[in-house]
Amino acid sequence: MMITILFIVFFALIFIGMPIAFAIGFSALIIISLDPQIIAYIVPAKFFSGVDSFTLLAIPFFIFTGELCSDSGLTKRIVHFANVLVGRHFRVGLAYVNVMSSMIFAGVSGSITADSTAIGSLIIPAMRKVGYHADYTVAVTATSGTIGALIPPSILMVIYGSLTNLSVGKLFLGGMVPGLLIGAGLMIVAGLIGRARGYDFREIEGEKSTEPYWKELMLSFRDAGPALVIPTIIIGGIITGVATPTEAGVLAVACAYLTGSLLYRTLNTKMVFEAAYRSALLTAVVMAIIGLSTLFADILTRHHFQDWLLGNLALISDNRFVYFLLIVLLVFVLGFVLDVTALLIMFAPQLAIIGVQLGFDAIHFGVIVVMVALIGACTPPVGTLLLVGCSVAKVPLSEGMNCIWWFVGVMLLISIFLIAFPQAITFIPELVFRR
Amino acid sequence: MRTLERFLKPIIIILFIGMTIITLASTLFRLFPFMPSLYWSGEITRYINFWIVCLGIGIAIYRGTHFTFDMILRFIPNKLSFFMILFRQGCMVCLEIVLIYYGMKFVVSNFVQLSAAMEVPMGYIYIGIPICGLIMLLATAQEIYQTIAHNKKGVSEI
Repeated sequence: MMITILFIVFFALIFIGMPIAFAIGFSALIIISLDPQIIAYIVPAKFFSGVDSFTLLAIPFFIFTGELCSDSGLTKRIVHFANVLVGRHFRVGLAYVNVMSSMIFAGVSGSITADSTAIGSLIIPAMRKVGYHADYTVAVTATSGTIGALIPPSILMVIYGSLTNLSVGKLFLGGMVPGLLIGAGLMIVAGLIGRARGYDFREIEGEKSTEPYWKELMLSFRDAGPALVIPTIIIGGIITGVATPTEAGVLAVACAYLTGSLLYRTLNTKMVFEAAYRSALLTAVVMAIIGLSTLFADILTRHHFQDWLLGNLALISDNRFVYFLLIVLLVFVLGFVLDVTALLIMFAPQLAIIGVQLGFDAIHFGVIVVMVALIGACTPPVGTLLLVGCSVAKVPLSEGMNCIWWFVGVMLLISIFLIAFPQAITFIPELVFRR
Repeated sequence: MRTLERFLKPIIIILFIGMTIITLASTLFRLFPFMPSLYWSGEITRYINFWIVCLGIGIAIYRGTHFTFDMILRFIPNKLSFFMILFRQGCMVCLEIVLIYYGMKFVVSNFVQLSAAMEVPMGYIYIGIPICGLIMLLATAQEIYQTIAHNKKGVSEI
């Protein structure tokens, strides 16, 4: 009963435009005032304990790294490298550049919104100028943005790991194969749609260069080099056990700063301060959701939400794979109306318990849940990545979402494939953490 | 609110850069065993982060950067949406008052408790909660004022 009220109040508030973080907080507050067993004292207590975590400190540092990289022009160099590598040889070259840059940049930054804004603002105008339709550019940018949260480092994996006490390193590694698969899948769909629409932009794309091709490729690779060093530090540090995710994050900040100020000489102190301020505000936005969701999740636990959900699922089937598919479906549907971060924070602890009860590998289950929640970031009406794409392309949502379904479809297919083959996710973490 | 942001911005930047430097220093110190161990760094950075969040949430309301879903309001007649906006702002005020009131109580009752490593009274950290509520309240108050002012002028506002 309480759970029903909780969800009704929550969705009603979201629909009248209350920021999601506070809709979470206020609906929890309603239940607290209705339930005599809970006193409002837990509001500040839970809010504090939700934010107060050393693992979650990785979030501001990952955001800061991403901001410093875009400010210093590293993003631009990544896009240039991808363009030289794949941009000029194919019919829909720039679409491939888009996915490719997202995959490389995914290794630098941990935030999907930052990834997508940084890369989208460079590529979307270029694609529009050449003649791609707006909905196509938006769909490619939004869906390739999800790769940012699958290829490590990833804020969402840090959040999931810290809420469920799983190893963030293992989750990071588990996300690698899905990230690469989605990259490949998106390129295929982008190619097919491009063919169906008769795009052929081989000749027009990219500035003509006088240098021989191989020399140009090497030069652009050298320029974009730090983009490969930073993820090596982060992932290497975490999986060898030298550094925690937070420490690796701060090392990456140092690297990004050194690259920007010494190597490229594009960063000045004022830009660093501005980047710090932007990162701090974005951190506050994410942490507001985390802090208030802790309250929400606490109430879900007190009212035995996972038993309630499992009980309802049991009415439908008793096959554990059907359960898994139903949970995926649930997360996918919730993704239409919830932001991916909020969705994970609110439901991850409960879902993870269910996953283990059903006998699935915790890492496998976690990566799939994060993946499907990410698809929610591309689906209207509430899709962070889709909205970022539309706002960069300057088209209304109704126009921008036309062909996204093909891309979303292939991502769902990949998720279902990965449910059936858990080894694809778990073999890298098992290989690395065998000791 | 604009004056307040101008005042808080340097504080937030200093806290954020400070947090980065402390974490970096303690990480490097730990990697090289001959350096002293900064046992208090984990604690202080967690609390600095908490303070950044407390100060930042209100400013993010003022700037409108919190994740919001405003599709439905666009399809609703102005008059109705005016009341819906007022209603949700009223809800925000309730939440903020709870944060301030119970945040204060929380501070008072935990004031004497000392933090584990630095032995600072936890009250100094928890006081971020009512302050957070206060900044949020100011930002919301300004929003409510704008909503009403816009409505008087008859401009549709979302």
